[in-house]
Amino acid sequence: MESGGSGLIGAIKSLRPRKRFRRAAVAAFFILVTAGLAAEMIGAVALLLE
Amino acid sequence: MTETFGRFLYTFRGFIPLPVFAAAFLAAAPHPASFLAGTAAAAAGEAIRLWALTYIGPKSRAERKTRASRLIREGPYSIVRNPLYVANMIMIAGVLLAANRPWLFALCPALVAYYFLVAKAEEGFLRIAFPAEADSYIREVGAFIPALRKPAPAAERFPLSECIFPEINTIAAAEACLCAVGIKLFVRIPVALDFSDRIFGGC
Repeated sequence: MESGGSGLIGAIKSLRPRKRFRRAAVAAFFILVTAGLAAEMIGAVALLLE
Repeated sequence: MTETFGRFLYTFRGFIPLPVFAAAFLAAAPHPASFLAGTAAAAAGEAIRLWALTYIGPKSRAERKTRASRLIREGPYSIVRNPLYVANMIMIAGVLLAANRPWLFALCPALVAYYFLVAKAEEGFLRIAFPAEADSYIREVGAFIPALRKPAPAAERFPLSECIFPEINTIAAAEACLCAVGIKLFVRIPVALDFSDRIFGGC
């Protein structure tokens, strides 16, 4: 095992998602919902002005 | 008893509003005006949260247990004892307003009761941790109703840039709720909880 001891525990530890990956996933989700909300707000303004 | 229950709720405080958001999504019949007004309210709530975080620091918000090294009485904490909870209530009210169903606001008393219990638990912690200051602070500053006074300045504050990143989860969650409600402006989704009354746009 590269890190976290040997055997089953080491294997589980090596499978544990990296903190960096989790942060990237949160950042991607944040960008996605921000863009979605911005688009919906523009759409709502357009509907109001219709 | 109240404090024990409050402590239990405090541990799971991030999950308790989820049923309210689920109800808001299921029942939502948004109008463009309600959606924009709700989004503005949620943004105002988030701005208050960020303001408070620059006083208490970014780490405190993610804690499962109450702990503090000193009693913070500056900034928003000089106006109201629980600015983060007040901000949460404004954000939740924003999502409910966006959903455009007045009956959803009937859930508000339950939310207020919930935050009241959590705040009670924190009060108990303050009294134990800061016996000299807590009583006067609790007496002078309201738990949820802000006082009309100028916020007390702090000697030092956390930079906003440090506070934003740990707050991204909250911002993204609020945005996701608003997105879920707002999608009904453009896509017809069968509504599970359909009552005819609406805040904007009449019946």
